Order: sequence, then C-alpha cells, then structure tokens
Amino acid sequence: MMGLLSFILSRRAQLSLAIWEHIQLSIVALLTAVAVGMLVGIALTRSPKLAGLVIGMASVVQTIPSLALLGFMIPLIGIGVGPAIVALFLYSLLPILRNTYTGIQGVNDSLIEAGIGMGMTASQLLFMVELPLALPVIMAGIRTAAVTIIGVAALASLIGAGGLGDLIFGGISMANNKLIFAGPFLQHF
Amino acid sequence: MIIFQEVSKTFEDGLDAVSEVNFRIAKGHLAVLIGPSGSGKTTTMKMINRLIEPTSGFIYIDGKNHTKIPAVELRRNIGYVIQEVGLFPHMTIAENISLVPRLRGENPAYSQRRVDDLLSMVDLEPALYRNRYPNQLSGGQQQRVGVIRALAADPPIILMDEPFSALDPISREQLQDELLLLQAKLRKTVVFVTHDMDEALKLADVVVLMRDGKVEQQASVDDILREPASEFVRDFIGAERPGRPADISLAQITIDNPVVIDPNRGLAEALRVMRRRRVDSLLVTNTKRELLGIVTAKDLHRHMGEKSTIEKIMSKDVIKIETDTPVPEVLRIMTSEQVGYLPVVDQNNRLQGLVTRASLVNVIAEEWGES
Repeated sequence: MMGLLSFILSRRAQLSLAIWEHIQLSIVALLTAVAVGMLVGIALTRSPKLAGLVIGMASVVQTIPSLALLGFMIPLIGIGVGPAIVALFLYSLLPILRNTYTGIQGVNDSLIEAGIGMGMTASQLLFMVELPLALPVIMAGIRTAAVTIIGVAALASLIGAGGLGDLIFGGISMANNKLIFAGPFLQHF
Repeated sequence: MIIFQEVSKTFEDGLDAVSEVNFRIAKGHLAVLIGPSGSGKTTTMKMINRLIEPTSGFIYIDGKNHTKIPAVELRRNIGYVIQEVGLFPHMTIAENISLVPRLRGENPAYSQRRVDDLLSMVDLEPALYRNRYPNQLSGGQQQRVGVIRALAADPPIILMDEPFSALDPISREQLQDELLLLQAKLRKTVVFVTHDMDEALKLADVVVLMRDGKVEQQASVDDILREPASEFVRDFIGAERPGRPADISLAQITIDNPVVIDPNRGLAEALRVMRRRRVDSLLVTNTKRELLGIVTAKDLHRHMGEKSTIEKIMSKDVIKIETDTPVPEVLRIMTSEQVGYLPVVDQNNRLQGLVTRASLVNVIAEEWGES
C-alpha cells in the first residue's frame, strides 16, 4: 500500500494529466447525455407510442459490450477524444432517458389531473409538477449513468482518448502492477 | 348558471358515455350529479372544465359557449376538487392553496393572507399548518385543504368529483357539514358528483340523477323523494338508502285531503258528513282554508239537542304541526300528546293535510318492507 502511494506521488505529473483527461471525458459525455436524455425522455412522455421504439433502440446500444462500442467508433468517426465521448454518451444515454420517461410516467395520474384541472399550461405542468416529482427517479438514472461512464472511460484509452486507462493498459503491457493498480485506485476519487 | 344543451360524449372506443343531456344549474345552487357507476356523471362534470370535450351539443357558462373560452383560462375560473385529493406532495399546504392565484400571476402577499383566511375557515390553525407538507396531514385535513384550494382564486363555479367518498364516515360527515356552512356563506355554483344518495340528500339544492348517459330526473331533493320520475329512480333512492323513519318525509305520511267542514254549518250536517266519510272527527276550516278548530263525534252527541253551529262547539286549541316539522318530531308529539291525528298547516295556518296514526303506520310498513 505504501509502495503504491509513493509510486503515485513519484508519477504525479503523469497521473494528474490522466485524471484530468478522465474527468473531462466523463463530464462532457455525462452532461451531453443528461441534456439529450432528459429532453428525449420528456418528449417521449408526450408520445408514448414512440417511447417503446426509442427506449428499445437505446437498450440495444446498451447491450453492445463497451469495448466493442468504442471499437465501432474507429471506422465510423476515427480515434481520439471526440469519438470516445460519442461512445460514452451513447452508453450513458439509456439510463437517463429511460428514468426520465418512467419517472414522469410514474407521476400519479390524479396529480396530473389536478394540475390540468386547476388550469396549468403544459409547461407549467412539466416544471411545477412532473419534473419535481420525477426528480428522484431521474437522479437515480443520472447516477447510474455517471458510474457507468467513469468505468467505461478507462477503456477509452484504447481508441486514443487518454485518461486513467492509459495507466492500466500501460501497466498491463509492461507487467507493472503498481501502474495497473494506480489507475483504478485513482478512478475511485 | 351552467346550461347543458343536447350534450353528448362518445369516446374513441365507441362508448356513448353521455347522450343528449339537457339540464341547467342555477347560480349559487349546489347541484348533485348522482347515478350508478357508468352512468356518465363524472364525464358530464369533466365536460364543464373541458377535461373532456363534448362530441356534440353546447355547454353555456353564464351565457357563454364554454368552448369559446380558452381551456386554461376556463379552468382557472372553476375550482376543482377530486376524490384522490390531488395535493402536490412536494409543495407546502400554503403553496398548494395559493397555486391557482400564483398561476394567474396574482400578488403573492395577497395570496398569503388569503391562504390564512381559508385555513381558518376550515378550522386549520394557519400558523400550524401553513408550512406543513400534505403527507403530514390526516385524510380529512388533506381534503379540507383540497376544498379550500379550489376556493382560493374565488371562482364562481366549483366542481367536486366524489370528494368525500374515500374518507372515513366521521370525517365525511364533518366535511359535508363544513361544505354546507361554506356554501351558505359563499353561495358558489357547485357541481358535486357522488354515488351516495344520503350525501346527495344532505347537500343538494337540486339533484340530477343519471343513468346510462342520460338524465333520468332533475329535481329538488324533496321532489325526487316524493315524486320519483321512474321505477329506476325509485329503486335507486330505495336501494341506496335503507328506509329509516328520518328518511320518510312529512309529505309521504300526510293525507292531502282531510275531511273538513265550514264553521257555520249545523251539527246535524256535521254528523251526516262524518257518517258518509266514515271519520270520527272533522277539521274546521273557513273559506281561506285556515284551520279554526276541530270537532269530534263526541262533541256532536253532547250538543245534539241544541240548535247550534260548529263554530260554537268546536275545540279551538288544536295540536297541529307545520309542513317543515321533521318526522321524528311528529312521532314525538303524537306520543307525548296522546293524539291519533295531527293537522298539518303552512306558515299562514292554512290547512295542508293531516297525519294520522294509520297513515304513518302504512308508510313505515311500506318503507321497511322494501329494505
């Protein structure tokens, strides 16, 4: 343990760069996924017929192994940070989209009826009733997405996006256990 | 004033929920829409605030075709209370109550004062309840808030969709009483949906009884009890309301045409009337039908030798009741005064009918036989 810590301290510069890249990848992908996922989720509550199709498609993306999804990016949009963010975004879209949709669908019908009956416009209903009441479910989706992204972002190193994955894969190829451990260890902060 | 003119609603699945309904509800009246489930009463009510749009026909609110009013504006001028209460769990009691005024962009300070006034009206201490959340209140308290929330923007019309049916019997009674008190004070036009006949009889100024999407009868409580328009109405009143003496109206036990005699007639003629009509006493009324006294066969026999008139021998202190005397009170008087009959008079002492032990027993036997 002490060995690992002194190793981390001795390679501070390399590690902090890796952490910074990792955070960048994760946050950009997550924020995009939150924005798109919530918008699409809300839109789907207005046309439940489409919801099955769209959520089904997002589920299919989720079943693709994360490594494969990153791999798909290479022939489609190349390598580097951009393609990695796209892959991470796709990967985290489902939990946010699905939880937004089910969270709003799950709001008690009688409350919706009360809101409409009292004369709320559609947007007042959304912001005063539906979103506040669906918030716990939506937040749970965002949390799931965040955890997934941070984990999968380690693989982004494989398509040249950097991050803590660089340490892990570097360690594996050099049979350097300290390097292997340092990656996941730091990932947990 | 709410007017339904040939209003029909056919749902997308082809169900004719309401067909060609006509009725009007006068301003300041509490109208109860009642009927078995599936009778279209809730659909009818929801068409008033356009939660459901009619397929055909017209609804006029204060003379205005209500589809011409934008739905949101229409709804903000119609209070709405639902069975599930529908308080927003993430808002405090004050925020819930002031919601419609806030939607209308009214002065928040004004709303705050109004919230406190309204809470006091239903005996909820404002300082105690203002900042609580709905789940910290009992079911009865929540629905009290539900009712005053509908009153917050002072709308002329209130719709209530089985508001008390999910409550326990004691809370229900209390809320009904409070509603009557509020209504006596505020005189809103209230449309109240229920399937509970007792509730309808207690609250309604006018009852609209529905069946299979049609109005079976619209009448005052008294008229619907006295003159049910059809066998269905009679059954519905009976089935929903087991016969109890308190539910029998005075009108039911009153004989409309008691045998009367003019005070200027002679004794022999009185005796002849008694024989012919097979009664042992006659009510004495003048030409205005004012009740002057009563004369019995015994009185006649005692004075038979004299050449006299009814007026001179009748007994003037008649025990009588007024048309609005409750039936239990009638029973009490009959028992305590040891009388077999009680003339019924209106406020001006004009004879309206007669209650006898026989008429009473007949009606009670009929009521109890049914239930």
